[in-house]
Amino acid sequence: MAGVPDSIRQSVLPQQQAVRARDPMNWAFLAALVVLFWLPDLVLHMAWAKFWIQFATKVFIWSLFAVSFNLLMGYAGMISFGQAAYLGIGGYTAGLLLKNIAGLSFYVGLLAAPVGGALAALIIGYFCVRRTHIYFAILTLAFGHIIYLIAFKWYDFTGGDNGLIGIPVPDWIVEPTFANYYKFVLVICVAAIYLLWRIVNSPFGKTLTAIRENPERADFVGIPVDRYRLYAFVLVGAFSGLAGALIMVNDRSVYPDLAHWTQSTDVLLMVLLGGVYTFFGPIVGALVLRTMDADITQNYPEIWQLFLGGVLVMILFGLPGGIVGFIQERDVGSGDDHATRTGKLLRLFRRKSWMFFAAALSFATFFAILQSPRAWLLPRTRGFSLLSLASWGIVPCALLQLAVGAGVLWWLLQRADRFNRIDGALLLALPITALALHVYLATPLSGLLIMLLWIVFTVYSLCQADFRHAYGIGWPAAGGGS
Amino acid sequence: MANFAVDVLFVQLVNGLFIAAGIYLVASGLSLVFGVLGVLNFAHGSFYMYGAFFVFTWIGFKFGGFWPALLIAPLAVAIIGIAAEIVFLRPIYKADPLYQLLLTYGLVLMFGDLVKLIWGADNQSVPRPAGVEGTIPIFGALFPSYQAFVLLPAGVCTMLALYLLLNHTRIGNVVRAATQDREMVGALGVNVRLLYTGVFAVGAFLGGLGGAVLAPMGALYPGMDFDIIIEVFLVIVLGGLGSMAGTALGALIYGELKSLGILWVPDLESVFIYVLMVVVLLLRPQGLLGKRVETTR
Amino acid sequence: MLLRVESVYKLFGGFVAVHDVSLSVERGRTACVIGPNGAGKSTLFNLITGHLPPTRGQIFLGDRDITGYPPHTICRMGIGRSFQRTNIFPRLSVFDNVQVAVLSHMNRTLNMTTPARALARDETMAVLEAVGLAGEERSTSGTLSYGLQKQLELGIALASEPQVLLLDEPTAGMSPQETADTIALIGRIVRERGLTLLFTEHDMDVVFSIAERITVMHQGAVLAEGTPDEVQNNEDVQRIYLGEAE
Repeated sequence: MAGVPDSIRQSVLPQQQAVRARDPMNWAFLAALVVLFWLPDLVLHMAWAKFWIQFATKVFIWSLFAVSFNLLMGYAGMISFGQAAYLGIGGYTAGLLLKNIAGLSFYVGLLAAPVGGALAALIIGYFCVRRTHIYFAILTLAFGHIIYLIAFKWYDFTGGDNGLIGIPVPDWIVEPTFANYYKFVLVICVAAIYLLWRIVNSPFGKTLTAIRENPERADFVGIPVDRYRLYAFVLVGAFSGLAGALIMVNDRSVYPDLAHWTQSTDVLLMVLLGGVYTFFGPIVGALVLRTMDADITQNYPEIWQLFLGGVLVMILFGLPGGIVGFIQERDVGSGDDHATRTGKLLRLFRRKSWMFFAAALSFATFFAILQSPRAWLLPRTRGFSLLSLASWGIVPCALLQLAVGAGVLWWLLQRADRFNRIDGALLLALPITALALHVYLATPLSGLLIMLLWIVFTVYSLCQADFRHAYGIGWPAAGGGS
Repeated sequence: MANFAVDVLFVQLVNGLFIAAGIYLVASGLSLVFGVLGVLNFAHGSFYMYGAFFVFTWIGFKFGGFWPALLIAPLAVAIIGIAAEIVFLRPIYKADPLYQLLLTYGLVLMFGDLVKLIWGADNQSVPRPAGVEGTIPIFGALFPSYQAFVLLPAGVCTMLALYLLLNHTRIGNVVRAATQDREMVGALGVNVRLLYTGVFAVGAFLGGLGGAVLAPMGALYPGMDFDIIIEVFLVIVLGGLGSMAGTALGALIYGELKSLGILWVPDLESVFIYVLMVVVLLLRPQGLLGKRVETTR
Repeated sequence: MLLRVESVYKLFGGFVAVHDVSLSVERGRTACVIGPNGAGKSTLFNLITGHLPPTRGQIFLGDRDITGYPPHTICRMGIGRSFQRTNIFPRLSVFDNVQVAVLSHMNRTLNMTTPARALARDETMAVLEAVGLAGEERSTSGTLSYGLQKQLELGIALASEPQVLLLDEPTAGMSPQETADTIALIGRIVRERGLTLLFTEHDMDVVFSIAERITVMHQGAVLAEGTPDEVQNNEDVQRIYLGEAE
């Protein structure tokens, strides 16, 4: 790079450094993918294998849907309230083709779904992208519901309320215990998400963020804003159609419900929960939401909407960057290293701890009450045993949780200001508390998930040399250090 | 034969008036709130639903009667509205409008499910009060007494009351000024917080009133908040966001279109609303009487 | 004449914002439009850049009639603009702000596969150097000081390699030192690139120091037009505009 001024060269170097530092992360990522791929074979003979495998498959599909939705919402700044329509269109396109055209190759049928989604998005988007914000939201809501109503009412074509059932799929998909389909979906979703990753980091992706930030200015650097919005809308429609087809294959049927606005709400929640301005946030959001869905709708389906609404409101108030946004939170304009960022993160957590605590408490109490709504004071099971919290009453349980939680939190907050090392302990203490609460509340999936998330975050932090150095933890880093 | 057609037309036109009165009752609250606070309150449909369900609960009491319920239910809804405004809406007035929309959407989800938990998921119904269960002949055609004697007068009275309140009282002047310029009104010494809460309470009251008045006319079910809010959005968009007169006009047009539409294409009734909304938003997003809307810039 | 505005009118309902305004700027020259607030200067700029269609009249860039084209087309034809209220991409980094403009100019914005990080780095850094923001490329643009944001504005406008530069009150809200620096920067850039400059201003010192031709607007119409001396000595201008406290 001879002849290039120093200032330019210096600005390039940090990028190169960042790439080098990312290499171990890339390998870890690939390793994780390989593990995921072979996971079903490991668990095949355990109990609940089919449930877990199908659950994981669902999470992959919804991750794809959520990440594509985030291209629209987080990157292009277009909040669509009717995105599930394209799920439905994808599912019905593939389903109708596979069912009505005998001998059609499964893969062709599957490929037709993103094409169908893209076409629908082209037609609908052409009208919608001209309007912005509230009008765009209402328009997409209206179009989404129209699609749902068409699927619902056009009995002759779509089977109406009865849906399309008995769609032929190759045998290898169903056997054994859906493990093959799991792998198939994993490969497709990883490929599609990788494609989205390329798009987001490409000039097109950057242009979309510019349009989001300031459409007027984008217009006046030569970008035809409406046209690019339409391109984004069509792209997202294609990915959504693909996701819809994958869902269809999973159930070998498709119902109008796939296009219902409640599904649109789900994906909106996933993106907000996981982190609107991050790439991987929606994946986290999909995982968390599907887990809570499995936990809650198994037992209390009637409160799912209440739960969603509550989570939405709480995110908007306390966690607008979502989970991943919260983890990635950095001061604007600063070049802090990882340790400082984590420190700031923990201070931020302390400031908002009241909210986390209140939320955890209300959910805990809420679930406890739900499990036996009439047993306000009385023990839930007939036999009373001191060691089994479930046999206490609801109110004593809730009060105990309140006392324990408040005590733990108070102790941690007292110490945290004085000793940096306790920050590290905070990372470990919380998942233990969460696990304890959730085991007793009999929502093991959510508890495990929270544990998992925090373990991942802890491990990730411990892997950063500067973090270890700052908190005086453990082993010396090889070649790293601040 | 010609007489028959005119009769049918007359019946449908009057029915359209009834529909218009009903939707106006509900939409007026949302329009008022949007005009002053600038918040498009998705949860307004929830206020409507609670108004209806509160009436249902009230008349289930031994001492309960329908007519007091028409006042008590909206008052109860207004109280809920005040609570919601203080807790949820106050912190976000300065935020992005889409953010506000998402928040009110979250409230819709929560309120909607609470209904399922409290009243169950089954359809409920409120019987028409004594004295207006039957029909009444107008120009030879029979119309339901309830619509003629309760619904239509309620709609018209509400419209007149709002008009007088907004245009001929001091409070009304302040409210209208706030529609134009919120900050200025605050700078002039008006307690803006109180104003907002008050306007929101009135809006919630109107929503609840709509629910209460419309309760005897159909089934009460947990999804009715979503169904009504779409109709209300349509009416407000049609009339023009931020214009009270526009809301009245939009309600009238919508009522007549729906009534005549049922006559001509009964199967597509539910799709009809959404298609109409799309058409209006695409062709003339500022509605009939609203302010000019920026397009994509 | 590189930029030519012929008898444009702009009516908003009954309100006449711009009334029969004609203006022309020769290639490589610097012209200024002055006038009190509400005189229609920004509206005139919006008409030129396509943000508003004129009710009547035409606008020419060179030989081409550019009347009524959308802003993104006019930008591509060679007009760059900075805005009165700082109009940047607030949550993007300084580098990204300019890179988007550069990529758009290079017609590479539809590229969906190449990582943008690696593209057009040299060109983007060159623009940042030219406007004095070379050290700030990783800062979030929304957090910059007002003066630096204005420099970024200029950078974004320059990234499209325009022939004509429209600057809407480039020194608004600046201290005398900042004003002098900004004017020096603009002057240098205009000279180095041979740009044609049309700007609006309130600061009379700035106007009379660098403008070669001045158009005075008042209530939507042209009051006077000519060299700085001619305008200064014009009685109408003295009465209505220069006599006012500024």
